[in-house]
Amino acid sequence: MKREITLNINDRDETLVVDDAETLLEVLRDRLKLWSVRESCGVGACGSCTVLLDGRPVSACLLLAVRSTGRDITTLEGLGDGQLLHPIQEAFVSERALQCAYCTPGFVLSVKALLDEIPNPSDDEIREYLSGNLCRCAGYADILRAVHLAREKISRAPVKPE
Amino acid sequence: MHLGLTLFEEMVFEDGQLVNGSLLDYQVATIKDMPRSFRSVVVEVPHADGPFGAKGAGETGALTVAPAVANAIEDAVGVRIRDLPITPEKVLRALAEKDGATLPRDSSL
Ligand code: FES
Ligand code: FES
Repeated sequence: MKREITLNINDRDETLVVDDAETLLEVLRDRLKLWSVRESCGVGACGSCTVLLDGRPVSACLLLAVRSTGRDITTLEGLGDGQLLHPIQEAFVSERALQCAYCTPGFVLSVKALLDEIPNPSDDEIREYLSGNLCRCAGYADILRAVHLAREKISRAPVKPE
Repeated sequence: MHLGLTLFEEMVFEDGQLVNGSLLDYQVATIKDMPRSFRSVVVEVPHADGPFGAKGAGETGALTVAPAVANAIEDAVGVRIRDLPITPEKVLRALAEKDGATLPRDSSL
């Protein structure tokens, strides 16, 4: 069945007609052209489609768009302010925590949720939190460093546009 | 990362059919599998015809995690595993064979 829904995405309301079976991933990517949201496994196993739902990381491939109404949805596009990168993104760049970068948007959003929840995570906490995001190029060591750098950047400049 | 190739990643076929063709079944290394510390060493062997001695490197051949792990296992328990990935089953099987026993074959191993 088709129905009209309003989704709050990156602080903007988007009203569109979707099929009940459409996933949030399909709506974000195919309809709204938010290309940072990427499908890899399509079955909730890789984290490359991670978006934030009320600040918590979820796999957009497993979530129906119609079930996402009334929540704040954040994609990577909503993280910087359009001009400046978010400190987490800066940290990924300076630690070169990416190779092909297919996994990166998912990682950056998971790191955002991690640092919001645990501002000073230990290595073990980082590993635990990020274990649902796969990186096949294996920048894991660099990603770990990037998380620490991001944490430092954020604690140095707590007021940052998001 | 060579770690996945060395320890986890394997395409399993049954009757010509790939049976683990999804990321739920085909195990890829996660950030939790990353060693707590590791040191990489670049062994420089300049290539005579390459620009500034450079040469394209195939990742599989250039990385050395597999021999390091195989050496460590041999050093620890005295069996040599010669095909990847080096799974616990393969080590167990090799240990049993060393003692003259054979473990039953399971089609998926
Ligand atoms: S595409 Fe959604 S978790 Fe892999
Ligand atoms: S950088 Fe390629 S998968 Fe992570």
